[in-house]
Amino acid sequence: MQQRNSFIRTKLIPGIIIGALAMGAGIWVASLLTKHSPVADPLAATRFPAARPVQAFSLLDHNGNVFDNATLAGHWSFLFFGYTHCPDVCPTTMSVLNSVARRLQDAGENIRFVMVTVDPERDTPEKLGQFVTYFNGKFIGVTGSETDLQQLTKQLGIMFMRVNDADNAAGYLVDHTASVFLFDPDGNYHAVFSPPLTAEAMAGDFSMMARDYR
Amino acid sequence: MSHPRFRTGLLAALLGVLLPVLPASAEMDLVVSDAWVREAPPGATVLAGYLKITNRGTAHATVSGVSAADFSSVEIHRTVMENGMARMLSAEQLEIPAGESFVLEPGGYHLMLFNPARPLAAGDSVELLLHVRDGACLAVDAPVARMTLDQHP
Ligand SMILES: [Cu+2]
Repeated sequence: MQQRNSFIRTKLIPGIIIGALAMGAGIWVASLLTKHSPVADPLAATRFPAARPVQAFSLLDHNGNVFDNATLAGHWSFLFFGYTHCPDVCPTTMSVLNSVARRLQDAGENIRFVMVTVDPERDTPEKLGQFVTYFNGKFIGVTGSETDLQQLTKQLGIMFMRVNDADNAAGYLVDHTASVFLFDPDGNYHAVFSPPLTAEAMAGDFSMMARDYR
Repeated sequence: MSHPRFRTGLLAALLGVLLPVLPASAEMDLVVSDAWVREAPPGATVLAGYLKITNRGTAHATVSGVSAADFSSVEIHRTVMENGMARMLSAEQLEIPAGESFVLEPGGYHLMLFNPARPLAAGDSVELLLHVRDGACLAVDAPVARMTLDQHP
């Protein structure tokens, strides 16, 4: 008992006081920081202070048309990177994008939705077309050689890698960045939506960005 | 999502005929609900299935695998997000502690259904067989449905 009391006096109470002081100081510093930091962007998306130009790339859409920098210009584009052998995340993202498209159909903006494959070996233009148009007849599938795809994915920081899972009946899976990338009518990389993706937040954020862009 | 019709009673009866002795049944304590298979684009070779397993018993239950006559094979997978990347990991089995539920849903645990033997569209249904560790087997009818975001946010 004696020992415990002395522990409380010599260690615990000073500990509590120091802790309380440190916490108070922390709160004070934090309040200073928030006061002096710029106003937080109200968006769930990450947008850049200045939209970033896109280095040259050239791919093909599922109808065989060239899909390159020039294709991005003149309208907004949502780009998602996925593959058709992906039954969980990719269809969900495509459904979310379809919901975004429906929410924005009366927004008065010209918007395109594109899925770029990260599995060009299995995703032929035909399969890609079947996949994307199932979700929305206007959706576009884009493919190219691995090298051509890298021209676009590298500059966006997109990663994809084949996982050879011996147990998997599909042969292999592809781990891939799950974000959705937004390009503005100048053809510049404007913002990125990171998972978890919801149609409501994406459509709302887009409307704000489109308004600010005008 | 409507609840699928359960055929566990029928299956138990069938197993009673096929197997001389049924183990004191832990399988009847497992209840499967909200089973569905996501309708996939035409030509899809992999589909996803989702369901909820509730263990109403007092003993821990393990689902060691799933099979389905309509598919060449079924695997249990889990989608994980790591540094913004979507990955799928194989799960060997599902552990359901007594009194708890295990949910397979979009973006998390799911069944990977490989190579459908027939074209499947919303309105169809497929039978999934859940293999329980004690040797029992649970059959569930999973309707094929389009994923609608209002129901599955
Ligand atoms: Cu999977």
